Amino acid sequence: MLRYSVRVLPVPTLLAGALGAATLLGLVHLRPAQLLQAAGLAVAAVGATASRLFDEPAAALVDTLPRPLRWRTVARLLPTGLLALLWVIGASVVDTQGVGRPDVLRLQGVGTILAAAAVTTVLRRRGQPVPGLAVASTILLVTTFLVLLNPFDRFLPFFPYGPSGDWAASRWLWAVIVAVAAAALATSCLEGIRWRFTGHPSVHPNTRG
Amino acid sequence: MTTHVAGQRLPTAPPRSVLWALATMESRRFARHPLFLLGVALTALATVSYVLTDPVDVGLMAQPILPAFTLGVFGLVVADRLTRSTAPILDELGGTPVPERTRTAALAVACLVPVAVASVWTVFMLTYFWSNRPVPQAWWYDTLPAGDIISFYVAAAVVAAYGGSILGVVIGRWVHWPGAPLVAAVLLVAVTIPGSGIVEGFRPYRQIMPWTTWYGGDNGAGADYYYPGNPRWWLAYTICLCILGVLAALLHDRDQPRRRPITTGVVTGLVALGLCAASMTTGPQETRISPPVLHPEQVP
Repeated sequence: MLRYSVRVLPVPTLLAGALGAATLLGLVHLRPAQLLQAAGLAVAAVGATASRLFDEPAAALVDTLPRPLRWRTVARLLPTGLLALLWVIGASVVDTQGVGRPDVLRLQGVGTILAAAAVTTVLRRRGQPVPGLAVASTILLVTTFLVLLNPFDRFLPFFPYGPSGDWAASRWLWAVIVAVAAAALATSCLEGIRWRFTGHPSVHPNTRG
Repeated sequence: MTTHVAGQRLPTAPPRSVLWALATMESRRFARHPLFLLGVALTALATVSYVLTDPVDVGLMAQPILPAFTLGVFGLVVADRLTRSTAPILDELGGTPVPERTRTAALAVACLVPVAVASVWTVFMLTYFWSNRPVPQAWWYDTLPAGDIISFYVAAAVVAAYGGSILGVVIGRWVHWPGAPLVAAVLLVAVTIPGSGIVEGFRPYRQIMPWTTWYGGDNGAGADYYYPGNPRWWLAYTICLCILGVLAALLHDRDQPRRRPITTGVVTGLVALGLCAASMTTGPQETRISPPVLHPEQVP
């Protein structure tokens, strides 16, 4: 599975997303008071990158091969996990000097990556071979909208700012997003498996893939 | 204008009716694109939320960022998708009798769809807050020339909606990587944040950016900044940038003569530089601070 994960890794996309996010976090590190919004942009960038990791342009061919979609999706979770790990490291290193909160920043990135992965895998299971681009566009634009212009900032503080920001509410909000997205992703990956009382999963022959 | 193909003289420019038929079709595709509809919905949602907020935010001069993003940046991605969408079909068909330049021109006309929405938004904001102004000392009709306010709103909302969309056509024509519009969207927003006046040293030169603002937000003392420069010249400058975008997209077709668009582009570029310089050197040359801007409910 590891070899498969490495082979299907879309290196240019992953590099572009990771480098873009690192650059934006670097800008935040330099001038957090003025450029904290760049951290939100970085969140949008890693979310968009994550949604591109599940595309299978040759789906018509690989869907006929013995490896089921579920197996391939789980294998593609490895690069997604790598992206999430890089994000957590980057968000922990950046110094927001009290304008932002590192723990919320970590949650924002991980939540967006998980949400992107969940939506893309669901669409992939529904038969779309390359859903990543459409999901990436939507996630990038909507997340950036919430960073710049959230009209419901008082009730849904996705990207608070400064000491007066509602960080506690934001922390809860992103924790819920992480939990829901992780559950949706797990459900998508486990769909089609029949669980027996012995605790060993088996795959129904008609639901493979 | 004609071209020699296999010994025959074929017209390179199709009848105008072809252009308008294509433009109508592309405009419909633009207007029905899910991302464009999402952008329009977010514009409406944010505007209603802003208008209903009591007391209304005094930063009226900051509001054009809304259509600039929801119509301009969303339009960038939509226009790119529309531009790329015909390539696989044309590959299968082996070509089309309509030159690429005509198809690009049709897309450039379709980019007027977000402009129409941005125009409605601009007229609404400028007229609604004519009478419903937040406080007299805020940066608005009472404290600024109406021409400056209207110029800034038209440039930062209407022209920006076109500029983002035409940039999408340019990227769709020139860059093969499908992820390019997303990178461009991030870059556009990333350079706009520091380029919108918050970096003090760059403030006098910020008009060179495709999008900037004259409003500096609450500085913590209940007063707002108004940045130096002339928004009227900046409006003309941003229109020139849009013309350059159209020309850049049209230039991609190598089968058509390129001298005229290149000459027009050079002239437009020089004019744009002059207008940008005029925007920097005319108008107020220092950052102005408003009298304390307090909401009615904040007044003791």
